[in-house]
Parts: sequence; C-alpha cells; structure tokens
Amino acid sequence: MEEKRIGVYVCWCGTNIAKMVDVEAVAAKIAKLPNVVIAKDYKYMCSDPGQEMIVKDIKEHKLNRVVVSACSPRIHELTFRKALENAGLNQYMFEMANIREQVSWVHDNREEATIKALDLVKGAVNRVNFHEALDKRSVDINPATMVIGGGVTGLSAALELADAGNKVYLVEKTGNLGGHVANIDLTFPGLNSAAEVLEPLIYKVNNHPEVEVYLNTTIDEVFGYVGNFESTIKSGGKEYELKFGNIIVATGLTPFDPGKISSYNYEKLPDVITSLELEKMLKEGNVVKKDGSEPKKIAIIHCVGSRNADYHEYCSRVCCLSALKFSNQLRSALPETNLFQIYADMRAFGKGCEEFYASTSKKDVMFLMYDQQGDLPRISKAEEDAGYEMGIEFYEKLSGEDIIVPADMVVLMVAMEAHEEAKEVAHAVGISLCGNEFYIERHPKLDPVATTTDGVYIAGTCQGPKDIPDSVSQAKAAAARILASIARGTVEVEVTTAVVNEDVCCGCQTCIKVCPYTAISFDEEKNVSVVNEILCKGCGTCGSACPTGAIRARHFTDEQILSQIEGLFSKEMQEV
Amino acid sequence: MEFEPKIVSFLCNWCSYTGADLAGTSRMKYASNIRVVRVMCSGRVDPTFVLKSFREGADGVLICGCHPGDCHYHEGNYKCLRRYHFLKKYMAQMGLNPDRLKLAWISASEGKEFAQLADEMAETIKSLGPCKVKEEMEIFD
Amino acid sequence: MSTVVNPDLNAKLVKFGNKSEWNECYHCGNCTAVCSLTENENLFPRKVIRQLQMGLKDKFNSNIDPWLCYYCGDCSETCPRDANPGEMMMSARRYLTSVYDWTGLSGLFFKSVPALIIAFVLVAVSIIGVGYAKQFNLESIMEFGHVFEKMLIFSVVVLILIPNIFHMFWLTIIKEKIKAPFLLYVKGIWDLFLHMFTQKKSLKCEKNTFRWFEHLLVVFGYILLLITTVFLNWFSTENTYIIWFGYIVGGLVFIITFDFILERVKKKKELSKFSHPSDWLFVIWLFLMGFTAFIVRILIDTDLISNNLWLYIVHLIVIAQWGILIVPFGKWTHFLYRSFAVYFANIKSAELNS
Repeated sequence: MEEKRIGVYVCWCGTNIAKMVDVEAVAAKIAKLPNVVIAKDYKYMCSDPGQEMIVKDIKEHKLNRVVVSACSPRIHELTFRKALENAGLNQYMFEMANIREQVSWVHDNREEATIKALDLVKGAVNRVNFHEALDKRSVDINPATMVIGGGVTGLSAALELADAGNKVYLVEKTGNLGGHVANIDLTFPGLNSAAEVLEPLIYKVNNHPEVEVYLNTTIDEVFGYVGNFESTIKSGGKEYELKFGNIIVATGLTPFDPGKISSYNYEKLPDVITSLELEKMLKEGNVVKKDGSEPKKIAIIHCVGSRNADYHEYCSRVCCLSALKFSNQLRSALPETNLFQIYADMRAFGKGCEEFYASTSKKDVMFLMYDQQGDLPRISKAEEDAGYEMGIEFYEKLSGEDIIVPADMVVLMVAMEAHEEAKEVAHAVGISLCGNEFYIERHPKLDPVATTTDGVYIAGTCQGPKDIPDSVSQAKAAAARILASIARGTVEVEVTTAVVNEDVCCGCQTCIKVCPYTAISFDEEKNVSVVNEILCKGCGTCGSACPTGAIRARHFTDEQILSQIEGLFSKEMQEV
Repeated sequence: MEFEPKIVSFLCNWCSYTGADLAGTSRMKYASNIRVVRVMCSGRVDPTFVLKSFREGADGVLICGCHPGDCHYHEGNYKCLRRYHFLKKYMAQMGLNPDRLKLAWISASEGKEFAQLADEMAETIKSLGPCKVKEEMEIFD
Repeated sequence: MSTVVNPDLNAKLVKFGNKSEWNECYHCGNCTAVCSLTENENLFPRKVIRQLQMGLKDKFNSNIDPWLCYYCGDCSETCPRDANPGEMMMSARRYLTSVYDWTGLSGLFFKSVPALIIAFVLVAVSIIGVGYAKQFNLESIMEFGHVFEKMLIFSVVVLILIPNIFHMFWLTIIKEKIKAPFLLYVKGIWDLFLHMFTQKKSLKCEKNTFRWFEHLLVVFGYILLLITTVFLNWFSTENTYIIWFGYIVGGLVFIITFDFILERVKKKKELSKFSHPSDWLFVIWLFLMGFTAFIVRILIDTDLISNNLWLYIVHLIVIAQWGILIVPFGKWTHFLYRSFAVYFANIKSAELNS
C-alpha cells in the first residue's frame, strides 16, 4: 500500500478566520499528526496564489491527500478539487474542514474556537486517510429542455434555447402564456407597453418549430439525472412521455392577499383595491370608483405584505417603481386628481429608476412616509360631509405628525410571494426552498441560477422577487448554462453512489426496501443486491441499513466517517 | 474549570449543514461544543456512528435532517427518525442516558434555529455531566 | 388629533416664489445640519419644507421658523436635490407676510405684478394730481409733502403694522397655546429692539459678516434719513449740521442699495440668485429714495430746485409709493416680523423649557 502523504492548509480568510482562530497554532499542531507531511497557513487559500501553493506542494512533496481548513465546502470544495486535478491528483483525495461558517463566525471566545477548529481539522485529516480515488462518470446530454412556467421568464428561456436549435417543452399550468406580465399595462421606468415586450415572445414561441407548448399542464414527478431526465405529463386528455436533459423552473409568483392586514379593510371598503386591480383599470383605460364616479384623491400604499416581520420580511423590489409608474399614469389619465404616495422607504434602484423617481416627484405627487416598525396606516370610512370617501390615518415619519390622508381610492401595492405550488414543483424536480418558499440557488453570487440538483435551473420570480429585466436576465443566464452543457455534449456526474461488495452481501434485500429511487435491484442468480449507478443519487441510506456492511456509500463510507469521529477526539496533540 | 462537553453533530448536506452555514453567514453566536460531521442525508447516519461517537468520548450526539416532507432524497429523514427511536431505547438498555442523543429538523433557512438548538443541546449535556463511556471502556482495554 | 393633509397649500405657495423646487426634497436633512441658526425648538428648513409639502396649513401659518432664517444660502448650496430650501424659506416669508396682513393687499401684490403696477401708477397719478391742485407751487407742494409724510407714517403704523403684529402674535403664540408669564414679555423687549435694529442673529451665519455690516448701515441710514427728512425737516432746514448729516445718510442708503441691486443683477451669491418682483421693488425704491433725496437737497443748495420742481415730485412719488405700498404690504415688513419672530421664539422656548 502506498505511503499516505497529507498536506494541510489552514486559511486565514483575511481576518474572517484569523481573528477568532489562532490559525498559526492550528497549522503548527496539525503538522505533528501522523502522515501529515506539511501544514501551512495562508491568507486566502482560495486565491490563485493559494491554489498554486497546493499544486506546487503536491508536486514537490509528493502529497497524495489534501485537507483545506477554510470556509464551508458548499462554497469552495469544487475550487480545491479542481486544484488537485490540476496537480494530477484524483479530486476525491481531498477533504475540507469548515472553520469559518461553523467556527470563527459563530463563536466569540478565541480559545474555544481554536480548540474546536483544531478538532475539526483533526477529524478531516483522519478522514482523508481513508479517501479513495474515484472516477467521474461521463453521461450524454439530451439537448431537449423542459421549461416549467410560461411567463415572461419561461418564454425568454424557451426562445433562447429553441433559437439555438434545441427542442423545448414549455409546460404552463394555466390556459394562457404570458403570466403576470400579461396583466400589466405599462412597464417602468420607460412607460412602454408591456404588450410590446410580451406579444412578440408569445407569437414566436407559439410558432417556433422547436418549441412544444403544453397548456393546462402540471408536472407530477421527474425521474433521472442531469442530461437524462424523463417525465410523463398529461395534457388535453393525452399522456406524453417527455425526455429532456435539463430543466428550467420559472414558476413565478403569487400576489399577496391584503385581506390578511386588517387595518387596510380590503374588501370591506369598496374602493380599497390592489395594484393588480388598478393595473386592470389602467389597461381598460377606465379608472373609476365602484360607484362609477371619478376619484378626486388617490392614495397608493407601499410595502403591503413586504418588509414587515408579520407578513414577509423581504422587499418585493418592484412595488416602489410600480407605484411611481401608477403616479405617472394617473397624472396623465386624471390630471386634476390629488395623488398621494404613502411609502416606507423609496427604493428606486436599477437603470433609469432613480431618474424616474426624480421626474415623478415633479409631477405634483405628495410623498408621505409611514413608520413600518410602528402601526401600519389605518383606512377607515370618512364622515359624510368630509368631502372625501376614506381617511388613511398614520404617523408621518418625516414631519413627526399624526396625519389623515383624504382619499377616494386607495391602491395597495401588494407583495410578491412564491407561487402557491412552488413546493409541489420543488418535490417533482428535486430542488429546495428557502424559508419563504422561494427556491434556493446554488450560490447567491457565484451561481445564482443553478440549484443544488445538477441540470435543474431556476429563473425569474420563483427564485425571489424581481422585475422584468432581472427575470429575463436570469432566463437567459439559465439558457446559456444549458446551451453550454449541450455544446459540450456530455457531463461529468458525481460518482458518490452506493456500491455493493458482492462477497459480503448476504442477499437480505434490506437495501432494496430503503432505497427511495428503486436504484437497487436483486440479482437472483448471484443472490446479491446490485446498484444501478445511474439512478442512485448517493444518499447513503442503504449503507446505514445494510447489516453486513456490504453496501457502501462512496466518499461517505463507514470507515471514512468513523475515522473522522475518531479524529475529532484524538488525543495525539492535545497536550502540544 | 467548568465542564465543556463535546457534542458530535451529524448534519445532512442539503438542509441542516446549509442551515448551520447560514447561522455563520448571519454571524449568530452559539456554544462552541458542537463538532460537525457532514453526511449527505440524515438517512446515512448509521447507529454505529452514534455509538462510535460515545465510545470515542462524545458527551452528546445531535442529528439534524430536513423537515419531514422536505428530504432531498424524499424519505431519508423518516428512516433516520426510526433509527433514532430504536437507538434511544438501546441506549437506555445499555445504561446510557437517552437524553444525550437528540434528533432535530433544521431547514436550510433556519440558521437562527440551529444556533438556538446548539445552545440548548450544550445546556442539556452540561446538566447531565460528562459521559463516562470512554473511561469505562478503557478498563476493558 | 390627526391633521388632514392638504395638497393645495403647495400650489398656493408657488405663487409666492420663483419656482417650486422644494418638491424635489427627499428629506436627507443636510440643510438643517449645515444651518447655523436652527435650534432644537426651531428645526428648519427641513421641517418647514415638510409642513409645506404635506399641506399642514395651520401649522405652517403658525410657524415662526421662516423668520429666524437670514438666508445665507448654505442649505441651498448643500442640497443634493437642488431643492433650494433657502429660496423656499424666502417664499414662506412672503406667504406669511400675506397671512399676517389683515387687508389681504399684501397677498395680492406678492402674487400679481399687474395689480402692483396699477397700484404704483395710481399712487404716482395721485401725487401728480396733488401737484396739479397746488398749481405746481414749490413751497406748497413741499409743505404738503412734509405733512403727508408724517400722516402716512402714523396711519401705516396704527392701521396696518400694529394689527398685523397682533395677528402674528395670535397665530404663533396664542393659537399654539403658549402661556408665558407677562414678565417674559417684558424681559424680551430689549432683545426685540436689539434684533430689530442690528439683526444680531444673522451674524451667526459666518458668510454674512459683510452683508450684515451693509445691512446695518442701510437700516441706520434709512432710519436716520427718515428722521432727518420727516422730523428735522432736512429740505427746509438752515442748520449746516443737519444738512451735512442728511447728505451722509442719504448717500449711505443709495450707495449700499446700489450694491444690493448690483448683486441681484450679478446673481453670484445664493441669496441674490433669485429675485421676486417684491425684492426688486424693495431695493430699487430704497435706492431711489436715498438718491432722489440727495439730489433734491443738492438742487436746494444750488438754488436750482425751483426750475427742477419735477424732481421733487418724483421724490415725493417714490416716498408715497414706498410708504403706501412697500412699507405696509411689501418686503419692508420683514424689518418688524423678523425681530418679533426672535422675540416670540425666545418667549416660546423659555416657556417650553420651563
């Protein structure tokens, strides 16, 4: 058996780690562990010089195993694996100890944090001793893509893929394409017609030879893995067997129900309407009260359901600009009407948006700020002779006054919520949700449209509130990612699947019962279980159920994990 | 010196490990007794791992998985739950306080909950005192 | 009790200012931060802008703060939105002048240039009419002029200025429910006159030192000119001291006001960038008063006056327009309101702090 030569690298991460963990001491102590050839500390391991150092050391010191003790493996495991590969080492001969997210950032006692970091690195070093080289498996990519959701995001993504000559299956739950943008009159900040954006997209998609549109269709379950997904969908009474290599989820949003906020009296007072209802009125060119008369005073309340711990803590990102857009539209439609913007903070980010805010502020619109930490505005019916229908009472933050805003019509800028069926879709395609039901991306900055499931991408408002340009950008980004994988033709998939040691397997078939993917079958002839490596996703449940230890979860084997536990408690340098 | 227990924590890669990372990125502070071992799924947590931890000197073991219905592998967490109940009984039979083992569901967005859980677990184990398994086993060695 | 917001106030104030840039304000508060004069009890200009934007009319009418600003222009310079708070405060002062004025003429003249021209022409025609009635006899016209000036001062003070000050007092103190003991009012009198004649407070604005000095000279020059012409009978006196004294103060007034006019033409400083018709009238008429008085006395001394009677009539017209229109209804009133504002503000803060 070859000699084990381990290199250990402890990252400072600037001061992020070094401030709370004595990285130099950790490196010095780890250097004394058996098989550890070198142990170094360095400012930024993930930087180019950091990675080059690993590559150089592997070559110089003939290292065959590497441990990096830095941030979460969720962030940089792949970076360092690549470095190993560049040095000609199998990338699985690598282990990471997370001493940033799970040590330096969460503890405030330097001594305790250093002890913990040391334990974790010991565990990692012990584990890496038992790592074995694994080969990546290459699979062909089916160039077809399934796009779930026929809104502006789904349409853009579908066209991008189809224009490159690839088959696209566009699945839409409702009977129409266009999503929420179809209900919008004008877009901000240019006040261009939304139909100008949408209609060409719908026309092209409907007439594109490469796009198959399935309306009134939902997805129950998707089988397979990146490059080779398959699903059976029911549409128009018929069943279709679809095979595709990648998935773009663009399920979009649901508007917040303002009935949940009692002080707004939505549906109790006739002329309290949502932004969607006003959008409809503007589209029809007829902004009137329920009794058919013209409103003389219109108030627009921002952040309805957004940025409030009782409803949603996040900002819905489009309401401020939509509200400003409404001001412009109403100012032209009803020049004599008094307009009030009752906002919490004006967030006019984005190209041309601050300018739009500035130009709107010159159009005789009164901006009033309410305190979101305090009581929300209260809408109540005004007295008969007040000269207006409703009074909106609140504490105006900038003047420090309790005021009443007179209004004949109140528009509630409702928040964006994740689609109500986001969870079902997440289960069908195997992706995760954040706490607020939006989908989680693989990395918020470095990989914003990918998910933790290879081959499944997210785009648009299903990932978080956003406007049309951002949604379309994400759609095209996801399409670009898929086009790149189609162009490559093959994809390397993780081989951390289960594997059966046929000599030890006693044929009890326990593993077959626990496998969620029916990836294990029974070979009657040999009387052993057999793992289908294509179906197996490597959860390792079979490994913990196997009574004989015949089935092993690669890269998470019993001996690897047990040795990691041993490492955590090893006394070898406790007294050093 | 005050007793500082060591707690081995098995976190599933998809929900709980991400949740623990979130506690870090949100700079939440919690007790430093937790030693994390990452597994792909809570269903991978073999009872042997838990017993091995106690054997090696752990004073407590904390297993975290995705919430019921949210498992990345559909149902691994249910299998973990079954094994957990079995393990608790087994521990009691072996004279090991079952309170030293805990299973909890932590989603990827529950950084705060993870931090609270880590503190609670540390408190529980501190009140139970050091686990003697390792010392006692050494007599046999 | 909550106040109902009123979007009309904004439109109303626009008529008293050059523009309505204050709508650009997004309340960063830089203006208040740089202001040398704002204090805890009197936060301006941001708070004033807010009351204006929101149309809190009652609060705005009772607000004393616009008078406490001496328009150094720091706020307008620092404003990131170019909302021009300094000029807004100026517009607010014009508006408040019209609020205090019980006759309503003030508002009319501030808002309408045609009304102003008609009034000025009417006064001029009346004076020429008087000249005609006196058959353009120099002595009787001068005698009329002398009596007219005294009568004018008396009636403007009694009929317009005193009632308006009481109106201001009612709005800013009584209506705001400030119940200060009488002693406070007595104690404050010294301050009232100090500020009325010296504008001491404006020295706090660092930029203002030279302008304060100019202003001080104009105030004294103007008052002394008033005393020499009206009470010491400068045009008819034989006393050399008074004659020379009259020359000095008259010259002082027209030289400094000439500089004021020049600055408004040049528009270099914040405070002279924007000029409302009322501002032009004020400085030009002040200049004309000093200048015509100066020339008239020169003509008297050189015995040329009888051949140039028209010049005295012009002087009289300027005086009449000044006394009938500018003093009671125009910019002149800031002389009183500013000092009374300091007086009332001191009483108010003393009462609130006790």
